[in-house]
Amino acid sequence: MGLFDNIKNYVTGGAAEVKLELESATLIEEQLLKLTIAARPSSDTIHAKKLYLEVKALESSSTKNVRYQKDYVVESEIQINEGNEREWTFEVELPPEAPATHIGKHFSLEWGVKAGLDMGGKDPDSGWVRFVLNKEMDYSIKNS
Amino acid sequence: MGLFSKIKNYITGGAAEVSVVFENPKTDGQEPMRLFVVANARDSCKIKNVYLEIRGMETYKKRETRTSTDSNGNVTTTTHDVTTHHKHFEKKMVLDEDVQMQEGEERKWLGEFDLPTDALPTYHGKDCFMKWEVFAGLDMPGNDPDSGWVEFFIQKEMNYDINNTNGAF
Repeated sequence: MGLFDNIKNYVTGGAAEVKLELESATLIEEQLLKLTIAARPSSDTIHAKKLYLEVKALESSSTKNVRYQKDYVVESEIQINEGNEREWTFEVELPPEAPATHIGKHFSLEWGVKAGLDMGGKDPDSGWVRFVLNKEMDYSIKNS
Repeated sequence: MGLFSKIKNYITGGAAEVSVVFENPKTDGQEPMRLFVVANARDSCKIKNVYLEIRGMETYKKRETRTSTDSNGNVTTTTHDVTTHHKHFEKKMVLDEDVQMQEGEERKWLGEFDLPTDALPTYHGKDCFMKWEVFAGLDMPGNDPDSGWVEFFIQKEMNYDINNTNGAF
């Protein structure tokens, strides 16, 4: 790979392709998010400090507020050789206080998960993959 | 009670203390909601009616853009996130009419109402809220004695799927 390709990948995060798939995009009462992450180099062998996962619940109207966020390290010190692909399965246990998905008329509370490779420059990542958490919430506790 | 106290009560709505007691403040929205409106008279009261208001209201932030022009003709545009409300549900009920209460007397009225089948559950966030509330009042001359808005909680599991989400990310 030439110098210009290296610079391009540094800026765009194009050194690898990262995919994230959920076993189910809808969680009903259960709090366990099961997922598979796959990564492969776009061309040359890649080295990453770690493969990480971000889980986030975002309240969104004209403002955006993070209502829950947790980062996980799936694996550290990764090398994937040119032409190879690696796959990881991972489970995220959401805490009992994790807020349920809420779709109002003018605002929403939505969940998303993203996997990324920590590399020099812009990290190659899967982009945000949305999921739904359907469960009953008890907001009276805070008020009592 | 003296004349000054009567005038004060007329202005402040202090002639009676009004409160709301729910059978259960948590509901799944399927069964009728039941509550008692309780009034304790601090003065003799001639009440036109006892009313109950119910509302389901969404609170959120809305971006507003304002443009102003100063005396030199310079145009300035500013944006603000303004707290805004949207009522999903609103209802008013009269529980009793032409009620006379004596000083020290307590009266209770049963209120019962249905919630819409598609009622959204309660949500408490940072800038955004979905709240269900009742407000009980005694319609009297001057300022009405009232309970203020009292929240109850709709707790139910929604049946959203990924197509219901609208891309906050």
